[in-house]
Amino acid sequence: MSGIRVTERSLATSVLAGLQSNIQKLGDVQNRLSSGKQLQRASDSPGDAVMAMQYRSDLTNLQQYSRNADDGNGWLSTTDSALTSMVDEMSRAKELVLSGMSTGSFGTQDSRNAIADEMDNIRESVLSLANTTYLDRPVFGGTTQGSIAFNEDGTYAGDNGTVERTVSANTKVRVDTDATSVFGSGSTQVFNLLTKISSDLRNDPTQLTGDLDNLNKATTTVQAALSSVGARSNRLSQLQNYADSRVVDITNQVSSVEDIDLPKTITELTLQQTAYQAALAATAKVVQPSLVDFLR
Amino acid sequence: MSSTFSGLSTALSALYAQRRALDITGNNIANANTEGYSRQRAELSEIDSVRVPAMYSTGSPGPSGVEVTSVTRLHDEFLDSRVRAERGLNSYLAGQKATYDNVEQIVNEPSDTGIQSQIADLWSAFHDVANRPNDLAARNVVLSRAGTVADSLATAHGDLESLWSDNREQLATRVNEVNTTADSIADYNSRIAAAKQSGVNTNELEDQRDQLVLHISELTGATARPRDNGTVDVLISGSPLVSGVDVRKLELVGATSLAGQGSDPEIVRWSDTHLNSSITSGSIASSLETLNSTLPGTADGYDAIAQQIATTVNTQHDKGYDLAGNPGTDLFTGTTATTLKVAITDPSLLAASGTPPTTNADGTTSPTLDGSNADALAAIAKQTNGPDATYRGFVTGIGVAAQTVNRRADIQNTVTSDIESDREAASGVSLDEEMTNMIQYQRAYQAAAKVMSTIDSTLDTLVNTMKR
Repeated sequence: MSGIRVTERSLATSVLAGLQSNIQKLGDVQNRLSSGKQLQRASDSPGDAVMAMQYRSDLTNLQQYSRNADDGNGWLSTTDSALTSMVDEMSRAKELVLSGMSTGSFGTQDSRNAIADEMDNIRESVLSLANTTYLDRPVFGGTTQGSIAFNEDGTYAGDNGTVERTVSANTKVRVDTDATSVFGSGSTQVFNLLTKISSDLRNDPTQLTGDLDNLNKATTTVQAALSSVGARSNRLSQLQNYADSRVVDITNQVSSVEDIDLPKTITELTLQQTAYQAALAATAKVVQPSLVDFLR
Repeated sequence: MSSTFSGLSTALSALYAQRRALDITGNNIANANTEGYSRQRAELSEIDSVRVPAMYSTGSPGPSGVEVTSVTRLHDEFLDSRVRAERGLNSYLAGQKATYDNVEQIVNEPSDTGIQSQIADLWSAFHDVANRPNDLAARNVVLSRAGTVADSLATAHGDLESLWSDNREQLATRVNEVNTTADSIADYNSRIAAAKQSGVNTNELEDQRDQLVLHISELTGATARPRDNGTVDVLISGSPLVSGVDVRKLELVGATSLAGQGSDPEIVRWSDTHLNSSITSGSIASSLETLNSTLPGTADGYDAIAQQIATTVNTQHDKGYDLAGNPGTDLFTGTTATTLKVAITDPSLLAASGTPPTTNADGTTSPTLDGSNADALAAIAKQTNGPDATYRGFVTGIGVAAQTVNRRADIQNTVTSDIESDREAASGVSLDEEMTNMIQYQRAYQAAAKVMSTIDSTLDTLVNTMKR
C-alpha cells in the first residue's frame, strides 16, 4: 500500500482536534466579550500589560495631584481673603492717621485719643486676621503645631518652615505665606507700627508723619504678598486643570489597551460561530459514510 | 501424478485460510475504535507439496493449497517512537502551561485590585498626610494601606506555597505511577516472551504493553527499544527503567515545603544507585521545573518586592520626624513577603515632617507640622528604579514566560495531534479497506467452495457413471 493511508480514526483524531481549536477560539471570543476586556492576563500581551499597569499608577498619581491642588487652593484662598481684609483695615488705619495729623476740630487731644482707641481695635483685627487658620493651622505660621502665628504682643509664634503641595511630578507650589515678608520685622512690623501709631496719637503727634510713611510701606508689602498669593493660586489651578485633563487622557489610554473593540469582537464572534457551525456540519457529513453504507 | 483427492484438500485449505482471514477482518472491524490497537493482517502463502527438493523425491511438484503463515501486527516502529517523544514533550508543555495559568491567577495583574494598585494607594495616602500632617485620620489611612500591601504580598506568597505543595503531591503520585506502570510492562514482557516461545500470537499483548510504554513516555519522556524476543526495554535519559523482565524504581527526594526547597531541591532519582534520573521531558520534568524553578522564582520575586518596599520606605521614613518631633523609626519590619509587617501602630509616630523641631527662645523645642517627608515618601511612586517599577518588571517577566510557554504548548499540541493522526493512519483500522478485504475473502471462500463441489461432481461422474 503506497501513498497516504487515511483511516476513520485518523480522520476522527484530526477532525476532533480541529473542532477543539474551533470551540476554544469561540470560547475565547465569548470570554472577551462578556468581560469587556481583551487584556485579562499579563501573558495576553506583556507589553500592553506593563503599559496598563503604568497607566493605572499614573492615574492614581494624577488624581492625587488634583486633590493636592484642591487642598493648596484652600490654603491660598484663605490667605487671600485674610490679606484682602488686612489691606482694608490698613487703609482705614491710614485714614485715621491722616485725620489725627490734621488740625482743626479733629486736632484736639480728645479726638486723637478716640482715634487711638480705634487704632487699637484695628491692631486687634489685623492680629486676628494674621492668625487666620485653615484646617486648624495658622496660614502665616509656617509649620508650627500651635494654633496661632502671632502672640498678643505681636511677636511671631510660628516657625520658618514652608508648606508645599506637590501638584505634578516635578512641581511643588508653596501654599503658605512667609509671615516676615508680609508683616515686616522690627519697629516697622505691622503690629509694632500700629502700637506705635496708637501711642504717638496719644503722646507725640509729631511722629505721625513718619508713621504714615511706614504704614504706606507696610500696606504696599501686604498688597505685594496678595498679588503673589493670586499668582500662586492661578498656577495651582492651571496645574490642576492639566492633571484633570491628563486623567481623562490616561483613562482613555487604559481603555484602549485593556478594553475590547466591541464591533470588532462581535464580528469576530459571528465569524467564529459560523466557522464552528460549518466545521460541525462538515464533520457530520464527512465522518458518517463508509463503504458499509453502500454494500448490500 | 497428483493424487485423486488432492484437489479437495487444496480447496479445503483455501476454505480454512479464507475463513481465518475473514475472522481477522472481523477482529479489525471490532477494534476499529480501540485506543492503541494496531490493525492485523493474515499473511497467506501457498503450500508447496514438496518443500525441499531432493534428488529422489517423487510426487509432482506444484502448489497444493494455501495457509495462513502468520498474523502480522501492522505498526510503524518509527511513528510509535515519534508519538512517544512528542507526547512526552506535549505533557511537559501542558504541565508548564497549567503552572503559569495558576501563577498568573495568583499575580492577578493588570487589575484594579492587584498589588500594583494597592502600592499606588499607599503612595497616595502619603500625599494626604503631606497635605494634612496634623490629621490622625490621614495618618491612619497610611498605616492601614501599608498593612494591605504587606498582607497582599503575604497572601500571594501563601498561595504560591500551597500551589507548591499541591504540585509536589502530584509529582509523588506520578513517580509512583511510573513505578507501577514499569512493573506492568515487565509483566507483559515476560508473558510476551513466553508466548512467543510457544508460537502463540502476541499482537494484543504487544498493543496493550505499548500503551503502557506510551504512558511512561508521557510521564517521563522515556524511549523504548524493542528486542528480538518481542520484549521491549524502556529507557529514561539512557538509563534502563525496564530491561526485559527487570525493573528499576524511581523515588522522589527533597524538601516538602517551598521554604525548604532552596537548600534541598526536589530530585527524582534511581532508588538503587541514588543517581539523578535526569528526566527532561514529560509531566514529571514539568513538575520538577515547577517545583524547583518556576514557583520558587515567583516567590523570590515577591520577596524582592517586599524587601525593596521595606528598604525604600524605611530609609526615607527614618529621615523624618513624627508628630512629637522624634526622629522616625522603621515603618516596616521584615524583609520577605511573608515577614513584611507594619511596625508602627500609633499613627502619630508616622514621620511626616522633614524638618527637626524648632528650638524656642526658652530652650524648649516644638515639633513642626511639616509634610515634606511624607511628600518624599509619596514621591517613591515616581522613582525609576522604585518598587513600582520592580513590580511591573516582575509581572512582565511572568507574562513573557507564560506567553512563551502558551505558544510552545499550542504548537506542540498541533505537532502531537498530527503525528498521532499519522500513526492512526498507519496502524489504525480503515473500514473501507476492511470491507474490501471482507468481500475479497468472501468471494475467495465462495470460489473455493465451488471448486470443492466441482471436484465432487467430477468424482461423481467417475464413481457413479462408470459403475456399469
